[in-house]
Amino acid sequence: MATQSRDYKDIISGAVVLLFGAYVLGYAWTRLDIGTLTQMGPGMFPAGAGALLVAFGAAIALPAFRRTGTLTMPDWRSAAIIVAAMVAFGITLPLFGIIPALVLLTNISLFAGRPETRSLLTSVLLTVFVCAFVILVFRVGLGLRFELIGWAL
Amino acid sequence: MDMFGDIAGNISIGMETAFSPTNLWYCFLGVFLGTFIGTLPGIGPLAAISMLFPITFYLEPTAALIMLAGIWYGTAYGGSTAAILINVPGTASSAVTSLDGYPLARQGRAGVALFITAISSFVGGSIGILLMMLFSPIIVVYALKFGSAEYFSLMVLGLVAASSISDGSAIKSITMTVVGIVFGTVGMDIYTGAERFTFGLLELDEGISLVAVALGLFGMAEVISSVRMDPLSTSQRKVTLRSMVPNRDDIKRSTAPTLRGAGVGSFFGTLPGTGPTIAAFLAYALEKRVAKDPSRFGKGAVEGIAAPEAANNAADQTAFIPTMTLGIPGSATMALMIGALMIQGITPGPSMMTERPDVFWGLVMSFWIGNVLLLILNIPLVGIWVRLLTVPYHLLYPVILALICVGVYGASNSIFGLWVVIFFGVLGFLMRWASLPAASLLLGFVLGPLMEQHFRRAMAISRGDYMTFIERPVSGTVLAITALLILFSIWAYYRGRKRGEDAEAA
Repeated sequence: MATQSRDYKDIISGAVVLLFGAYVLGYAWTRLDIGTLTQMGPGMFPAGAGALLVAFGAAIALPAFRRTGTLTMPDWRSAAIIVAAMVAFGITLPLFGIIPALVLLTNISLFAGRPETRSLLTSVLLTVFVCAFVILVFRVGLGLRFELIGWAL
Repeated sequence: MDMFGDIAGNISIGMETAFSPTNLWYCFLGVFLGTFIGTLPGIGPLAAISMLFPITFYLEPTAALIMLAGIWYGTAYGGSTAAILINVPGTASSAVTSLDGYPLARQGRAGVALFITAISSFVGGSIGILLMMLFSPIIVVYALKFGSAEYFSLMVLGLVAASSISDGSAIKSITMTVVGIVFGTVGMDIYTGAERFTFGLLELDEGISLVAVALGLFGMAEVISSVRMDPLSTSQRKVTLRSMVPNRDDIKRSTAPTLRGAGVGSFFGTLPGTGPTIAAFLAYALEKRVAKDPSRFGKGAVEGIAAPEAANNAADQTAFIPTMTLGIPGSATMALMIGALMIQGITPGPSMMTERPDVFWGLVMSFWIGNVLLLILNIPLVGIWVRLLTVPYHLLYPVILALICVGVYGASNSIFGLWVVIFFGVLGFLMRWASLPAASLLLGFVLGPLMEQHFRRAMAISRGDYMTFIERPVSGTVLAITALLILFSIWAYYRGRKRGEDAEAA
């Protein structure tokens, strides 16, 4: 990984924090009642926090301009796969019940792992184990009610 | 002295609560899970407690707290098993143990190392519990006189201290704390009914769920970063009970370090921002400093495992002191403990001791039970944990994901929680990339609403007078300490930078 002349990671994160703080401050200022210093409204605390974040964001980003750093790429692939797996779960659960949801969750998430660890046998065994485990702990153990397999269509 | 009569009374309340069959079971479950999680590298206590958080809704508050606490201090026992046997510590607080533990294992003395670890951990934990029993009532007596101004200032100090004392960039830490505070404001404001940051979503009226934040930041984000982890090569070592017995020399060498480590750990456990990990490092450094022959360290010196293990367990216990007596958490995990209680309607703090002595003393007594159970689990039953070290992560993480998804669904009974988890999971993932600490965010998220409440109340009582925070003696002192801490951090930062520049120029 090459070192660059500026610490871009910190510049980016500082900028994001700054923008976030500005947004919070703007929201509180326009949409909430700030009130006066002596009679504080609901907007005062968020506005103060937002202002602090603008300052802190700058404090993180500015020194980074004069600092070297390495810009590594985040592991987008793993994140995307895991998110997809969980989104699939979230969509499937109310429609089709928990077993289909867990099947999708487990099998999609397996793609995030290292390729040499994947196999049909692992997928099947894990899926069975996960379903059994969830049913045991949540339904039997804690009495949580959910549809095992539902049909929404 | 009447104090002792009180303590005896409290102990009996505590014993009664702690020995109830339900609480005994959850204590066992907690320490068992804790050791399990501690042994496995790749899942830390914070992630585990986050994942089991939803389960606590179904339990009585005391049982829930006992279980979560059991997991917390249980990991300190289990983490060292992996550290000693495979040189990969199961928890950060056991990292130091591998320095001398692994060499001992290579010399064929793994059994002895494990034994001494268990005993030192027990002694450290016991001393921590004793301190908690003795000092909590005293602290509470003073704390009952605190008003909102004092609490606000204490929380500010706690947050600033947590950011400046712990590792990593202090500015990033405090930034994340404030971000957490912002997330804490989401929801309907109780005083005015104004909707803050809810974007029309009814589900956000009560605020963002703590469970979802914790599961996302620490559960999901952890899975995303670990999912491509190298499978560990573990060589199975057979550890028999007989091989664990230390010789007299070992015992003699371990006694003083254990006590010293317990002292270091007890102290640093109570401070915000420092926890078992730092305590363990400091105890190790101290031992090396006072040792007659420091060169033995790193090659299998029993002092090198006795001290840090005693320290991390003592710190685990004393961390509960400010959390339970003042309601001020020193770390993200303690914030979760407070969160667990608050969700059940109990506010930790001085009033908790008088209103719900069964919760407080039941917890304290359960610490004793837990530590004894851990001793049993980690000496005779250590073989189980050894075998556990062979479970590869790629089989584990789908189960973890399932736990997260079903857990949050069960806790909130709607799918909305899951979307929140995914949001914070992605956020946590990006934060790790940017080296922005997630623990600080959680701390701010839990403390933010409390701070705002105290601030507004203090202002209401003082009728809009800001000076009240400085005029009231306790509050003023606390804020002065905070200011000093900030100045010190800035000075230390510039001194570090100047040294770096001097070194570069040279």
